[in-house]
Amino acid sequence: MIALAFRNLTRRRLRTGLTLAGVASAVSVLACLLAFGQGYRQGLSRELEGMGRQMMLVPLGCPYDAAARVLKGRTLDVSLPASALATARGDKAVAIAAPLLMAALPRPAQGRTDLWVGIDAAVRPLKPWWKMQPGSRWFPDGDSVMLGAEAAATELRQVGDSFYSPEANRKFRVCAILERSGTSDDSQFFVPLATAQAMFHQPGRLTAIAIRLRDPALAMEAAPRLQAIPGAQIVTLAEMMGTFLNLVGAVRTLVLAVAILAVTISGLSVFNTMLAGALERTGELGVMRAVGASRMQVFGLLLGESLCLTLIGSALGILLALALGRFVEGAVRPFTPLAPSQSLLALTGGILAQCLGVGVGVGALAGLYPAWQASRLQPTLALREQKI
Amino acid sequence: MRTRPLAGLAFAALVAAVGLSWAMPRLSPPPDIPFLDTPPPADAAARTESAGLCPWRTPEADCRRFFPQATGWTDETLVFTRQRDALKARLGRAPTSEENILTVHRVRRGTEIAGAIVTRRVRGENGAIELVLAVNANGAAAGAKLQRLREPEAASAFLQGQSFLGAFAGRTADSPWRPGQDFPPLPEAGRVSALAILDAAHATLILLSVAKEAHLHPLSIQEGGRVER
Repeated sequence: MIALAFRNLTRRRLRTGLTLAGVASAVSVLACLLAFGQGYRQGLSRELEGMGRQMMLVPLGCPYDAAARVLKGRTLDVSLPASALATARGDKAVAIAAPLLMAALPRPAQGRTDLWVGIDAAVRPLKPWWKMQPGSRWFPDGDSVMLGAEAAATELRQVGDSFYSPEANRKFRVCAILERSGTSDDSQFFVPLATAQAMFHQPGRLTAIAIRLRDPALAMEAAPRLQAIPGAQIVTLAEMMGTFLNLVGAVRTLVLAVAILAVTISGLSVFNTMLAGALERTGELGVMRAVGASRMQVFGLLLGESLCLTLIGSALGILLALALGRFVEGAVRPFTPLAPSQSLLALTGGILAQCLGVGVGVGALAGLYPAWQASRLQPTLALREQKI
Repeated sequence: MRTRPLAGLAFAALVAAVGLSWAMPRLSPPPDIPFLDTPPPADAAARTESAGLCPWRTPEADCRRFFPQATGWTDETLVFTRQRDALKARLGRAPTSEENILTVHRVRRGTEIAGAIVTRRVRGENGAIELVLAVNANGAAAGAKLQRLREPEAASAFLQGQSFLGAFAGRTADSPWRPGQDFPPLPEAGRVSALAILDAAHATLILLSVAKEAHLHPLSIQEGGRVER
C-alpha cells in the first residue's frame, strides 16, 4: 500500500515537489520559532542565575511611573530608607544586600543623558562580569568616579582624568574605567553611594537593593520577611525573568501567528494536491472498486499518500531548520532585546518531534476529505464519467 | 467525483483552530514586573573600544547660523590614509587615528557650495567637548560653536564666549594660532580645554586644506538634508 502511495505521488513530480516545498518551509519556520522561544527562555534562565542575585528590594508603587520619573530627571517620590538596607542585611537568609541609588540627568540640548549610579563595595560580587581597565582602582574617596566603557570613550576620559558634572557642580577624579560588557553599565557613571545621595539630595535614601541569598532555596522563606519592610516590595528572579520574556512575547506571538498561517497554507496545498490527484484518478479508483477494493482500502490509499507527502515534507523542513537555524539566529539576534549570550536556538528532540507531529497531523487532516470522497465513488458511475 | 468548495475553507478553519489551540498556552504573557539589568553577552570583551564619530546635533540651525543663505547640505567622507606624510608635515605631529577619516558636511546655496561644517570631539579638561567648525568656500573659518561641553561655570563661560569663539572667524590653516595674540589670553580655568579646541580647529582646517590640495575624492557622498525656510 505504501509503495503504491509513493508511486502515485511520483506521477506528478512538479506538483508533489511544490507541495513538499510548502510543507517543508512551514515546518522549518515552526521549528525555528519554537527553538528560538525555548533557547531564549533557557539562556535567560542561565544568565539570571549567573547574575548572583535572587531578588531585588524596590520601593512600593508603580515601577513604570518610577522609571518615567528617572528618565525625565525628576526626583523619585518613592525610595527606600537606609534602614531597609540594614534590615535586609540583618536577615538570616541574605548573603549580600547591595544598595543602589540611580538618577538620570537629561540634557536634551546637548543630546545626552547622564546616568549616575551610587553603589558600595557590596555590589562587586553581584557584577561578576565587571573587569576594570589597567590602572583602575576602587573609589579611594568620595570625589571619585568609575566610568562605564562607553561613557569613558564618549567623554574621552582615562584613569586619573578630571570629570565634571555641571548639574551637580561637582568635580571628580576618574578612578576606574570598566571594560566593555555590553550591558547598561557601559554608559553609566558610578560614584560612591554617599556621594550620589548628596548629589541628588537623597540623604539616606536608596532606589533599590540587590539581594543574594545564602541559598536560592531560601527565597520563598525570605520573601515574606523582606516584604514586611515598610515601603518595600520584593521582585524575585522568576518575576524578573517574566519581564524579559514579556519583552519578546509580542513579537513571538506575531511570528507564531505567521507560522500557523504558513502551516495552514501548506495544509491547504496538500489538500489541493490530494483532491486533484483523486479527481484525476476517478477512473482508476473506479476500476479498483470494480475489481474488489473496499471503500476502506481506497480511503487508506489516499490517506496514506497524504501522510507520506507531509511526513517527507516535515522531515525536509526539520533538516532545513537544522541547516539554516544558525543563519536565522544571526538575523534575529540584533533585533532581540536583552538577548542572552548563549545560542538562541534550542532545537531539541522534543521540538523536532512536535514539528513532525504537527506536519503529519496537518497531512492527516488534509487527506481526510479527498480520501473520503474517493472512497464514496460508485464504480459504475466513476467508469462512466471517465469513459473507461 | 464532485467536490464542495466549502470543504477547503472548512479544512483551513480546522487547521487554524487546531494550531491556535495548540499555540495559545505557549503565548500566555508573563506578569509585568520591572526589569533591572542584565549580565554581558559572551563576545563583549572582543568588541573594539571606540567613541564613534562626533555627531552633528543641530544641522539646520548651524547652517542658518553660519551660512544664512544655505539651502541644504551633503555629507562627504574623506580618507587621509595616503596623505599621512603631508599631514604630519603640516600638523607638526603624527595625525591621530581620528584624523584619518573626516566627515565633511558640504553646505549648499542652491547649486553652489557655500562652505563646509565639520564636527570634532575634543578632549577637554573635564570631559569631552564637541566642536562645530564652519569653513567658508575659501578654506577660512566662518565661525565656531561648542555643541556640547562639560566644564565648570567659569571655563564654560570663557570657552563659549564671543571673545574666544569669535576669534576663529577668518582663520585659515596657514594663519598664526597663538593664544594671547591671535586669540584672547586664556584664563587658567579652561586653559587646557581652550588649547585642545584650538588644536582641533587648526588641525581640521589643515585636513581640509590637504584634501583640497591633493584633490582628494570623497570615499562616499550622501545627501544630508535641506534647510527649511
